[in-house]
Amino acid sequence: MEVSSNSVRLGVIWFSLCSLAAAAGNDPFADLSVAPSSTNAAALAEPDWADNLLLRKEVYLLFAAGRDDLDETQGSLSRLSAGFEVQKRFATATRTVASADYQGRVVYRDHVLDTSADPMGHDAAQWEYETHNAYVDIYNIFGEPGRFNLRCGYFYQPFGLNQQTDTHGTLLQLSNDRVFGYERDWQTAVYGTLTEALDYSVGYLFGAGPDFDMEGQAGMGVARVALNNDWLFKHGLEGGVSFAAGERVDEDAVMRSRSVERDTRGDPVVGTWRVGADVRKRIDSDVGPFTLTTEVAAGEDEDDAVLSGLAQADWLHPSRRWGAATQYQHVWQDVGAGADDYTDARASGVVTYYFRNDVGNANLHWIALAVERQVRQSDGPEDTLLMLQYYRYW
Amino acid sequence: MKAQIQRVMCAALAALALAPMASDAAVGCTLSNPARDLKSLFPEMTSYREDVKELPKFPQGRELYEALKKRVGGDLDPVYEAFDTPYTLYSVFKGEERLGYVHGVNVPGRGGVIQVFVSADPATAVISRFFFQRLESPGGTALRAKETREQFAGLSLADFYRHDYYAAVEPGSASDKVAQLKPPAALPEEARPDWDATLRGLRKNLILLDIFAFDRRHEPFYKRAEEARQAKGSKP
Repeated sequence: MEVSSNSVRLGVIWFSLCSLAAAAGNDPFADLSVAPSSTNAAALAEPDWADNLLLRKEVYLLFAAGRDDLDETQGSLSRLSAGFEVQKRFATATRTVASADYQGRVVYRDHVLDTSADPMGHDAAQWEYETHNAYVDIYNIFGEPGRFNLRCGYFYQPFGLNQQTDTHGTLLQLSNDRVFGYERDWQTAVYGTLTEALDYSVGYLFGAGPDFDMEGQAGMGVARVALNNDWLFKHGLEGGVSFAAGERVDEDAVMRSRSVERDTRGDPVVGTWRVGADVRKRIDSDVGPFTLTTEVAAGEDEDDAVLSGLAQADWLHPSRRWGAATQYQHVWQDVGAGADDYTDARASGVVTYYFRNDVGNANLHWIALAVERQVRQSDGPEDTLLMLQYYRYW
Repeated sequence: MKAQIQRVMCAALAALALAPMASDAAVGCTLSNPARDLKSLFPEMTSYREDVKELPKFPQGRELYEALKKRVGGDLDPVYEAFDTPYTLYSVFKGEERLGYVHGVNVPGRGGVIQVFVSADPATAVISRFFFQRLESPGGTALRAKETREQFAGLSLADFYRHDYYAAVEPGSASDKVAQLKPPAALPEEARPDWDATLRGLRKNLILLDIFAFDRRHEPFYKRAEEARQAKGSKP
């Protein structure tokens, strides 16, 4: 009988292991140990400048057609963009002290349609360079770790769920664009832990919008108190209350209301206050998580009462390959001056297939098909839009 | 129309021009409020540091990814566990002394994402605390229960590699600590796959931690277990 050398080798190994096991009281690993290492930070080098430096690219293509608009114009919306994001964390040997984020896009638009999927489209030129994030975080500036952090720059307003939601590439957007006229602003905010259960954010917004329009406005103070992430992870629950007051630049707010135009004398600086509440609840199931979201806000533009509401339901398959969502949003404003109230109501639905869908949004790649029905539009025709989106972020 | 096509082409070219930029990803499985979470794990903490770890940036990153796959014991999910998935390693300090490491991973469960975090002793690599962050499971309450999570304290990657040996050579051995881990009694039957995913996630987490923080100190245990398994497989 011929015995291969491989079998002999394995036999020797087996014999050795058995011998070791016998010698070590049946523990064949007894001769192995995990060598201890130094725990002294002096052994830890400070990070190089290239450490914790993240660069990402983005391509976003959106095509849309309105049923009525197509009949009238034979045109369809094209919104094509290419962008990037840079993130950098700054640390000493023992402490992460700050981070910075910049995100921008070159955008080409043709035949712009009024859709909440492209909130920056209605005022945009055909070619635009858009800054979406430009901010610096300084962590733990004093007190207990996590108590006081500082963020300065251009980013989501700390009002509603927007700041804890990445809507950068999604077709469905949250309320702030309708509540303030834009969802990001130049600002400074202090944020951190308020109590065992609550986080806070307090800031000053320039009220300058994406183009940093300074028209002599006072800016806005904003404050938010929200459930901390223990609630999210233990109960699938997020929620908070927000308040903002001051002055912001918003030409659209002046154009849609005669009373605001009268009160501001045509100036784009609008006296503003808003109070808002929001809840988002995730319901886990063996067919994937369902998420129910609602945001409501009330306040005034000058003397006009303003109300805004949003309801959204999302589903994601456990494989993270398929998702679906539907949304209804409603904005109402008492424009006074004998004119009809302003109303903007839309219902949307979207189905998404994900090629990549990283849990931390580090790598996203999807194609989405959406329908938006403009239920009620005071300042334009009501139409039904069909949209096709390709998005990649890597 | 021709002008429109030209503009679309320009936009496409702009996209292509940006495409060759260095391809790094943002941070994947992170603590949502690191200062508070780390302070609750290490009350004596005075500072912490976050380090992003990406296998593509390691000199032999692809080989490490293949090694991870082999040591986890099966294919890695292309959505949850891709090669370019970034990880965050937290180091916790009291003054100049490193108190521990904290590291988390995502794994697919039956109902969605399971985020498995551990804190580990920097000297011995033994788990001091185990916890879930995101847990999309119908059995979430039972899995989060203190008595469920406390089973994992004191384990290390060496115990998982030992388990490979005992499972092949000596099933039911009292030395096999991993085999003694039990799913919570209140875990619904439909959530049982999430218990298995939790164990797999913990194993993956420890393997990555071994790469990122411990200079692969547990490799001799893996090799010993592999040798034993191969030898067992060769027996008539």
